[in-house]
Amino acid sequence: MLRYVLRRIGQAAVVIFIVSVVVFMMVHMVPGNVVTVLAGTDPTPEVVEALTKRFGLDQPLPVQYAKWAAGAIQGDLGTSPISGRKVSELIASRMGNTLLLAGAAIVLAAVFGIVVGVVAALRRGGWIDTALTGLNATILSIPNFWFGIIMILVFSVWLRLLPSGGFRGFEREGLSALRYLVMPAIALSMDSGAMIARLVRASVLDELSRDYVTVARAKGVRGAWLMRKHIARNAAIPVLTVLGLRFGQMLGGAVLIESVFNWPGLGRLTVEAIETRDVVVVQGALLYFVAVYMLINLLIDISYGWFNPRVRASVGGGE
Amino acid sequence: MAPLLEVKNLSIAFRSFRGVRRVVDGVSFAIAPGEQVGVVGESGSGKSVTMLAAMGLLPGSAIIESDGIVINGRDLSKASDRQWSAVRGDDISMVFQNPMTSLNPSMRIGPQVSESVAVHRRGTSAAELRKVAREMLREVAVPNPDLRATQYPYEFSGGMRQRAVIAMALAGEPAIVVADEPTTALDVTVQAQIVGLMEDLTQKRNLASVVITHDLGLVAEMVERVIIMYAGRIVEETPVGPLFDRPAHPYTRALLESRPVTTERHGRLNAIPGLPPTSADAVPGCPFHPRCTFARDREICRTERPPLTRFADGRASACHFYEEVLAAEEPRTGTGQAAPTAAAADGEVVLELEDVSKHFGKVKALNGVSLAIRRGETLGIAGESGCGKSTMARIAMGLLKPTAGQVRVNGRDISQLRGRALREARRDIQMVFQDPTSSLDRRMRIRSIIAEPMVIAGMKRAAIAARIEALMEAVGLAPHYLAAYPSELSGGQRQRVAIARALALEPDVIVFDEPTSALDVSIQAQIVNLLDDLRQSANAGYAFIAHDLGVLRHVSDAIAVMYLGRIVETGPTDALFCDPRHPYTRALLASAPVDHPKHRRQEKFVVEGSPPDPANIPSGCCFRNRCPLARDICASEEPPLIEVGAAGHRAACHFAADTALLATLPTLTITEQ
Repeated sequence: MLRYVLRRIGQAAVVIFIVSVVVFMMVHMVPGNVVTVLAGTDPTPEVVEALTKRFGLDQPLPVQYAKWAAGAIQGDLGTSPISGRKVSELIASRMGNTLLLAGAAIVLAAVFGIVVGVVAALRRGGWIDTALTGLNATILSIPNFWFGIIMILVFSVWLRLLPSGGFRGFEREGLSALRYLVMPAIALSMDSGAMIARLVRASVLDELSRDYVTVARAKGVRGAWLMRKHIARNAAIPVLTVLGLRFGQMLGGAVLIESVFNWPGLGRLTVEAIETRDVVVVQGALLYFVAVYMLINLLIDISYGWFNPRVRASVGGGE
Repeated sequence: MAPLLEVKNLSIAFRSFRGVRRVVDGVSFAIAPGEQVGVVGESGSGKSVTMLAAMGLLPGSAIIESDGIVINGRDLSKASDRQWSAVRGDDISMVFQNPMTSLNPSMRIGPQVSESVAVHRRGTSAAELRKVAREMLREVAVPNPDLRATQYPYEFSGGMRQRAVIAMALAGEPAIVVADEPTTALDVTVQAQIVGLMEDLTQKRNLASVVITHDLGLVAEMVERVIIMYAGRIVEETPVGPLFDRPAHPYTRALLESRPVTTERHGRLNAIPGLPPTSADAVPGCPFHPRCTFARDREICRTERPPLTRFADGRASACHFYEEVLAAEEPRTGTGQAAPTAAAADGEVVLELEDVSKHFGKVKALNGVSLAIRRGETLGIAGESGCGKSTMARIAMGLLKPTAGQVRVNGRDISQLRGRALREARRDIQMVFQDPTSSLDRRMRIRSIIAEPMVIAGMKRAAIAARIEALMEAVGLAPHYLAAYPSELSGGQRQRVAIARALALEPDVIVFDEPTSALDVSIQAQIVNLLDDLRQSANAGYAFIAHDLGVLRHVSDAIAVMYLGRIVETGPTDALFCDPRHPYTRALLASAPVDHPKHRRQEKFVVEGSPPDPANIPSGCCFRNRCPLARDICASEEPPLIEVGAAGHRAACHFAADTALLATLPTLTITEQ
């Protein structure tokens, strides 16, 4: 098992290296950089030169990359020329908020998806199944941020039940800060929940048709026992994969929802950095997203072993 | 004694988007305590559906009507799933066909075995459940049950899994076990082990059992009483004794006569013409009358459904003329003499494998195999799973490159060819696969399927059209099927299409990989006869891979027996069947189900275990760890394939010439009771 994990970490490192090069190149190929932003509208050549030198932009690209990468390995992603703060600090300050939002959303999506999917599968072909399947299709065909806007309209503007956006952390507001989390988390979970529900339904139906489920029924097994011991574990594998991938995306890509709800997370940080051409922050944030995504994928792969004894043995036996 | 299980006037229909289709019509039967009953029929006869209904396991789309399904005195015909669950696993349990799919892959064997106890006796302690699992595994002769109980299904071989499935069915101590084709998915030598195990267990525990099967040989070995089903009805009910000599229904008789048997060889099989009906209501009058030799033009067979008439103690037949059927002479398998096999001896060699090996990393799938097939000759290839027969077929086709050795088609070594030259060489050798449902593209019409190889070969349109017509006639399909899709054809018809496609380019070699094993008995005989016709007319050499020794004996001029990637014995068919010189061949023949209950062997010869892992082949003789004759020399020296007895008969055993020693291993030489 250890060898398997180490090998997967090695693979992840290679991917991160390739991505870091690509991110670095892309960001540097976009016209306009920090200098054009900081130097104002009509800069003198001296100012431009001085700024270029200060940020090391006069050096060849490979050298710039090497410096940046060497720092990144030690956790130093550079300093934002705009705010003057370290990129790693900026990311750290927003990371918790994004994790909270993504975590809440993925739990909501999983609960909604599993409950709706299992009920639909057990009532296959009945009116409940038809209604739930229709509901899922509707949710999937509407973008998440639209639900966000509608929720703000209903719960904040009309009913004045929940704040329309922002988040100031538990330190300042204690548990009542959770009121800020409700709507963005629900909005962010919508399409994932619907997708999980469809997957769970298909997966459970697939399991129900397996010979070993009939065999279990022939032993007198039924109801919750059947679901727990014979269906859940085997049906969980594809669901787990998609849950993990979605969570990885949310950790980096909740840009729209964070904007709609003015949520101080990494998505907003990235958007702000792009607007101010803060190359250093954009680079750092993108690299961070990739690393997190890889980490989640790694965790999913390792968890397969727990669900599939055969994988566990073949990786544990050390091929 | 009150019956354990009684089904009264059961009818089953399935609701689908095409409407309601009735599959079982008015079936009644009873099973007494300790009784062994066989339910025999082809696919679609309703035999499995009937037994699933008797366990309350049919899906919601089934419409079930009956005057009672009584288990242990309780009528469950109106029971809820909760009430059924209380009975299943406790009073009645089931063993399913495929041990590879009937165990939950993510659950340890032990808890699966003891699960029925856990469900029915809630509150049984974990330690007690573990003990139940261990003891059950011990009872079904799984070695090292303490360790085995903690393993997962993938760590079990097919035979071990089926033992675990049987242990699972018996753990709740039911009074009756339903076994649905319990040996069909297993290798021949493992089949014999499982049959023996089930016989021991039913006797020891005084169990009643219902064995659902298409295999009359299994019935001859395992049961006392037989129920024959056709088109959703019981057509005959009889003790097993008179069944084989004096069947009382024309269908039973036709089934018996259409089997290829291991003990004799005939020119042709007596195939039942036509197809079984697709539903219980499809044919008016007697459902069997269109295929019946007794019905002839009799009005009553076409118009009136024959009732199941009891005419003797324990015997019943649903035939208007059962007295006539009973009075007919004893059923005979096959007619005519076998075609002379010598004709092929002077044909030129079309396929030759010389010292071919194929290794996939550590897995040695094929080790130094040599064989030759002449034009007009059929070489039968027998062996169990993992013996390398499919790898060999793929190497012969040029689909795999051998690790060592030469593969010559028409004298040309195809193992060195690449690209265009290889594609052209492949035209000379074609293949027919086991399952025509997956070997035919379901989105192509039959015409395009048969035309495809000819289009690729660049034949002219008019020539292709003419050839297709000729091929359809050769395989016995009416031209109107050309516009159909594979799904509109029956299994046997699809296999005919696959054969037509293989014949299209007039190849010199055709490889048949288990071409009849996915088909029903009555259809199998039709296909075997078709292959026989082709042998006479098409001028090719044939390799015929099969596990059914009856079919092999019938179609082959010569036989090669494979074990762990080697040919262990080869020779003319009759020599090999009558005078087998390798202990493994003897074991295979001894393990095949008998043809007739009078052939019940006095002495059993069942080899233990299953073939070892091809990644870990024993030293010396590859069969030594299962062989009852093994001596020191077998571990140190690999026996060469040496000439024995008849011309061309060779065996790879140190004792192949010691007929007295070999005679201590019973084989097909049968003692009449």
